[in-house]
This record gives sequence, C-alpha cells and structure tokens, in this order.
Amino acid sequence: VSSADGPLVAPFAEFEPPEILARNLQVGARMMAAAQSFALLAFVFAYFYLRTLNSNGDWRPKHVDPSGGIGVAMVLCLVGCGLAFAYGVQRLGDGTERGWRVASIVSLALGVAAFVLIIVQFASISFGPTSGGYASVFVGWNAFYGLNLLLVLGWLETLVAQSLHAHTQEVAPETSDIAAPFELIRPAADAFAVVLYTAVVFGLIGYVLLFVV
Amino acid sequence: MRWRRLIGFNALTAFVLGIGGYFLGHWVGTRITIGMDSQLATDQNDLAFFMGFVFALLGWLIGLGFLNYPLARMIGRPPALREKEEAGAGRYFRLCTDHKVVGLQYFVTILLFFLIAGLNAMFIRAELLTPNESLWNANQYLSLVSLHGTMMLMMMSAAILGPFANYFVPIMIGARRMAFPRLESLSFWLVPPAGLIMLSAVALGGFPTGWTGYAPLANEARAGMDAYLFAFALIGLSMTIVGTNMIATVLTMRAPGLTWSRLPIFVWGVICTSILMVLAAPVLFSTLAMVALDRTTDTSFFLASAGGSPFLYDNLFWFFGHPEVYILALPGFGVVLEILPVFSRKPLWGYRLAVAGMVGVTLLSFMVWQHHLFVSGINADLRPFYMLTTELISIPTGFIFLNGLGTLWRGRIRFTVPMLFALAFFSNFLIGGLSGVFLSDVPSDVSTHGSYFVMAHFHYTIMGGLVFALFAATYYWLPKMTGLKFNELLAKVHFWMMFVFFNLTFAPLFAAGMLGMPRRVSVYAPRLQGINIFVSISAFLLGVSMLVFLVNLVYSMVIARVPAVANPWHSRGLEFQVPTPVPVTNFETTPVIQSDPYDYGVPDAAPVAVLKAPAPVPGGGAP
Repeated sequence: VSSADGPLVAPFAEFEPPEILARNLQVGARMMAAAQSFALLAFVFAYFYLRTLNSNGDWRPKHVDPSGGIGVAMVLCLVGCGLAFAYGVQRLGDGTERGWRVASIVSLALGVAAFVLIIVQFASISFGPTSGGYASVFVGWNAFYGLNLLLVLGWLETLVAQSLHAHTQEVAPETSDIAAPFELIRPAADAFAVVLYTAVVFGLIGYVLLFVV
Repeated sequence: MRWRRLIGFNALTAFVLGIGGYFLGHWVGTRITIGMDSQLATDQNDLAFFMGFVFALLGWLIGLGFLNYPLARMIGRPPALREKEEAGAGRYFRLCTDHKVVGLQYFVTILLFFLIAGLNAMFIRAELLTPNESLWNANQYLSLVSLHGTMMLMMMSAAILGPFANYFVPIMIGARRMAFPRLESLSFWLVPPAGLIMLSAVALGGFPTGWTGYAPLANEARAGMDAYLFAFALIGLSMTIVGTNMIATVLTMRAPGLTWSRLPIFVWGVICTSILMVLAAPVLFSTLAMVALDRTTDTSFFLASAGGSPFLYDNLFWFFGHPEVYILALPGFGVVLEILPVFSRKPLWGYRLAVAGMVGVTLLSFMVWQHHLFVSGINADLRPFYMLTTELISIPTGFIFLNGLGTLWRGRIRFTVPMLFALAFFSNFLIGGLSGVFLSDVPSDVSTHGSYFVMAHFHYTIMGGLVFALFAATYYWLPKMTGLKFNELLAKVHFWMMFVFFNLTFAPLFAAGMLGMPRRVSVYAPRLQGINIFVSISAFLLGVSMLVFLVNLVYSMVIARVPAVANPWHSRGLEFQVPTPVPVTNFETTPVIQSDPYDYGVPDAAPVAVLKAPAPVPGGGAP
C-alpha cells in the first residue's frame, strides 16, 4: 500500500499543534450549542403545547404570577454577561489582553449574578410547582436552564483562570502534550462564545415566554 | 505489592465511591423532603432515589478521576490532550484516552448488557408457552418486557458506534486520536452505571411502561421508574457526547487527500448517526427530566387534570424515539456497505447515492414521529402528512438496498462469515422495512397498533438489521482489534442458527399480530398457543445461537488464540493497512490518501494511502 514514489509526508510533530485543537474546539462548541438548543427547545415546545391546550382550564390560574422585577434583573445580567464577553473577545483579537481579562471577569460576575437571581426567584415565588401548566414549565425551565447556565459558567471560569495564569507559569514539556498550550485561549474563547450566546438567547426567550407574553 | 495497584483512580474505587455516594445521596434526599407533603403522601421518596443516583454517579466519576482535569483547568493549569497512561490490562479499568482501549471497553460492556437483555427475552418467551399466567404475575411480566426493551434500546444505541466507530473511525480517516479523548472515555464510563442503575429497577419494584416510559403511567409507577428515568437520561448524555466527538473528529482530523468523496461509507453512517444523536438525545434528556420533576416536585407536565397533557410526553418522546430507530439502523447501513465491496471484489455501486440515502434518512427521520400517535387522538388532519413523510423515508432507505444489490451484481462473492451476516441484514431489513410501509398507512396502523405485528416489524428492523450488522462488524473487525482469529466453523454455526431461528421466531409473530395477539400482556387467546409454543422454541434456539457465539468468543480469544494476519480480508480499508496490533499512535507518519477505498478490481488503482515517510536519499538530496 505504501509507496516510496508517493508524495512527501510530514512526520508527526513531537507535540500536538494548537491549530488542530482550535479546530476541534470550534466544531465541538457548535455541536454543544446545538445540543443545548434542542434540550431547551423541548421546554419551549412544552410551553406552547400546554398553553394552547389549557387542559382543565389550569394553564395559568390567577395567583400564578412570578416576580417581574427579578426576571428583568436576571435577563439584564444575562445580556450583560454576553455583551461583556463579546467585548472581551474583541479585545483579545486586538491583542489587548488586559481588556480581555477585565471583560471576561465582568462577564463571569454577571453570569453568576444571573444564576443567583434564578435561585432567588425560586425562593420567592408565590406559587408551587403544583399550580398548573405554567407553573410546571416555570419550575422546569428555571431548574433546567439554571443547571445549564451553571455548566456554561464553569467553562467561562476555566477560560478566566487560564487567562490569568497564562503569564505566571512556564509550561514544562512534561505537563502538556500540546505545543504552546496557552495559545489556545483565543480559539477557546471564540468557540465558547457560541455556547454562551446560545445560552443568552435562550435566557431571553425564556424571559419573553414566562414574563412578557 | 500488587494490591497497591487497586488503590487509585480506577473502576474499583469508582464502584466503592458510587455505592457510598448512593447511600449518602439517598440520606440527603430524605432530609430535603422532610416536611414536603407531596413526598410524604406516598410510601416512596422519589427525590431520595434521584439524589441517591446523582451522588452515585458523582462518586463513580470521582473514583475514575474524571473531575481531576476539569478542576485543574479551573485553577489555571495548562491543557493537555491525554492522561498519563501505563500499558497493560489496567488501562481497561481506568479513564483511558486511547480510542482503541475505549472501543474494546465498549465491546465487552455492550455484549454483557446485550446478553442480560437477551436473557430477559428468554424469560418472556418461557411465560408465553402457556396462554395464562404461569411463571410470572402480570406486573413481573410487564417489568420483564420493560427491562428487555429498555436495555436493548439503551445499550444498542451504541452497539456499533461504541466499539467499532470509536476504534476505527480515527484510523479510517488517518488520525491519531479522537478530537476529544477524555470525552470519548467519559461517554463510555457513563454506560456501566446506566446499565447497573437500570438493572436496579428490578429491586425497586420494576417499571410498567415498556421502553417508551409513557406518562402519566410513569408518574404513578414504583421507584423502579426512577431508575429507568435516570439510566436512560445518562445514556442520552452519553449519546450526545459520542455524537459531538465523532462529528468533530471527522470534520477536523481527516488525513491529507481524504476528500468527502473518498470517505469510507461507514464513516458517513457514523456522521449521520452522530447528527441524530446530537439533536435528538438532548430532547430525550429534557423529557425525562420533566417526568422526574413530575415525580419528585409534583409539577404537572403530563397530568391533564392539573394543566398538563400526556400527549406532550408522546410528542417529545417520539421526537427522540423515531430518530432513535435510525440511530440504531444507520451504523448498520454503514457496516454492510463497507463489507459488501470487500467480499464482492467490486467498487461500491453508487457511492454518492448511498451517501444521499443516509443523509435523506437523517433529515426525514425528524419529520415522522407522529405516526406513533396515529391512535392517540391526534388531530386527524395531521395524519396524512405524517403518513406521507413516513412512506417517503422508504425511498432513501431503498437507495441503500440498491447500492447493496448493485455492488453484489456480477461480483466475485466470497461467503465469509461477515459477508453472510451482511447479506442476512438485507433480507431481514427488507421484511422489516416493507412491514414498516404497511404500518405507516393510517388504516392498517389503526388495526394492528399494539399487536404483535408491530412487535415483529421492529424486531425485523432492529434485530434483523442492527444486530446482524453488529455481528457482521464483529467478525469483520474484531480480529483486527484483538489480533486473534475466530474459529470459522463455530462462526458459521452461529450464523446459520441465528439466521434460521431469528426468522422462525419473528415471522410467525406477524400472523399472531394479525390474529389479534396484543403486546405486553402474558395472557392470550388459547387458540394462539400453538403458534406461541413454536415461537418460544425457536426463540430458545435463537438464544442457543448466542451461546455458540459466546463459546466461540471465549474459545478463540482466550483458549486457542490463533494470531490473525494484518489484513485477513484483503481489504483496501485504511484500517487494514496498519500493523496488528495497531500501534498506540496508529500511524508512523500522517498518511496521505491517494485513491478511493473501494477500488476493488479497478485496473491500475493506486494504493489507498502512503503510510510511511519516504526513505532519505543518500547524499541528502530530495527523495
């Protein structure tokens, strides 16, 4: 099968070049965003299905009314989280690493604030999960979205930690099999942006469905 | 000290922490529910069971060391692709980032759960020897049926992708590894706890819903239902991870020269399956989460009396459930189309048509789910649309048959064991597919729904299709994976017994269904006893054929250990051009693909790839 007359082939590098991992991250992140979307779309479908059906007239009894203030605050935090991250990625592209670090930390802080507000919302609602279709979707959405947001924030925290430590440590060859591992921060941020923006968009959709319409 | 090797991050630690985690979680769940009226009103605490499963999973993953790397990254440690791994059998019981180890881990695990689920089938057929309750009462029988169906569907989702795609896709595309090696290992290590938790359902009172888990019955079932929900959700998670990893690997890590039109057809099958996994499995996860919320926090997603709807469950479940059928079938298509050219010594006929067929099935599979709801009271105006889309899907499936027949036509066919299984796939799947067209028509579906006719149909597609393809893949690729040959006589005995008794088991069930025998109940009309005795005896002999396989596996791989040559089938597949056993890095240098993988019998066909760097020219000039 092999042929001595064939074209030249490059020997493997001793370490994996970061470009390969960057490409993997781009594709992997898009797949994760797609999976995240379909998982959350199941709840959006449930919302419309149960609202349209209004079984037994129990879609949304009158007393079922979550706090709009907390909802607004949560969605503002989410949008702020996304915008701060977008700004940070832009700065990273410009080579302004300080700007990226500050923006990513702000983004993380706003994301955590949004997560905390979901918990506060849960603790303060005046109705229980047993109060009909809307209440079920409300509880299910917030629990599931909150868990999803927590995982997304875990990834964001990893990016922040990587950025903060990139300048403080030398990478010994035995600690990584990737050539220049900290060069991955930029492509990792680009890849993560897709996942974060998807989460923010679904946060907005959730807000519109549960608080506005 | 050998025993010291047992301490550390491995399956034993994981098992111990998993058991401990379960009891801790159960205790925490019990504490949380103190004062919760909804849980105290019943004699079982579902939240405690769920918390137990969550903590057990956490303990399992901690014990295997899956949290070490993410936590290290979260405190700023640099990324690395692989774990530091030692050679030896210990790798098979640890987090291992070698895709070949993961493939073999999957093979053994899937086989184990397949045999357990198959044993359930034997119990079911033993009960059906008589028309009245004999061995099991109605609840026990229903639990057996549920466990059989769920374990088969859950575990067989990864039956081909788990062992064979993990092992061979990187090699087939000329890569050294999967895109995300740790995720690959995670996708496997979620499977054993899922299987064990599913088995624990027996101890928790079983579950009566079958593999579909229909609500609101699911809301009312015993704690075994909690095990079903958690285990199936874990499999959904595993499927999503597998799909993501496969797509990323094929998209980004192909060797130079491996254009889309040279991609092995098996890899196309894997890509299509992966798309379905990434998009459908998350919906399953969310749906099961809704049922779990109904059971633990008293939401009412599926209770019509409280603002919910059981039809919501039907829609969401089958949005996953029907693509799931193709998650099972598409890798089978890939396997048989990969095998046919090798043993026909002809190029694959209509390569692009085959790809179009697989992509067509993938797209259409998301548009047919409501045919499962024809008798569930859906809007009558929707029926023709879903009838049409369901009938349409037989067209791209027909492409695959055309490809197979075109490849066989005037070929120099060698009736090896993998080829026999591949040919049997076609005849079985044809019967399954044609009866599927029959069932897609609303009038015939209404009259046969819930009968053994449907049961015979899906066994012809899933067992006749997927399981025969699985054995074709096993006999084709396992010698490459293990470096050892199968005993051919035993393999042929296995094939003929399985083929004959498979058909004798399931073909009469079409008739039983038409005569009105319902699924999922052990009591049937006495006039059907004769046909049931015949089917049960055939099923037992089908079970014996699995024992023949098992004997062959143990004899060939453990006792006889006859070495297999690197390319026993004279295949042009890239995976057969590397040495056996396959080196850790797969290739010495990046291979350069220079021709199609199916150019059998093509005069002057170039070798499929250049695998080695040219030797340096004396004097230092360019080679």
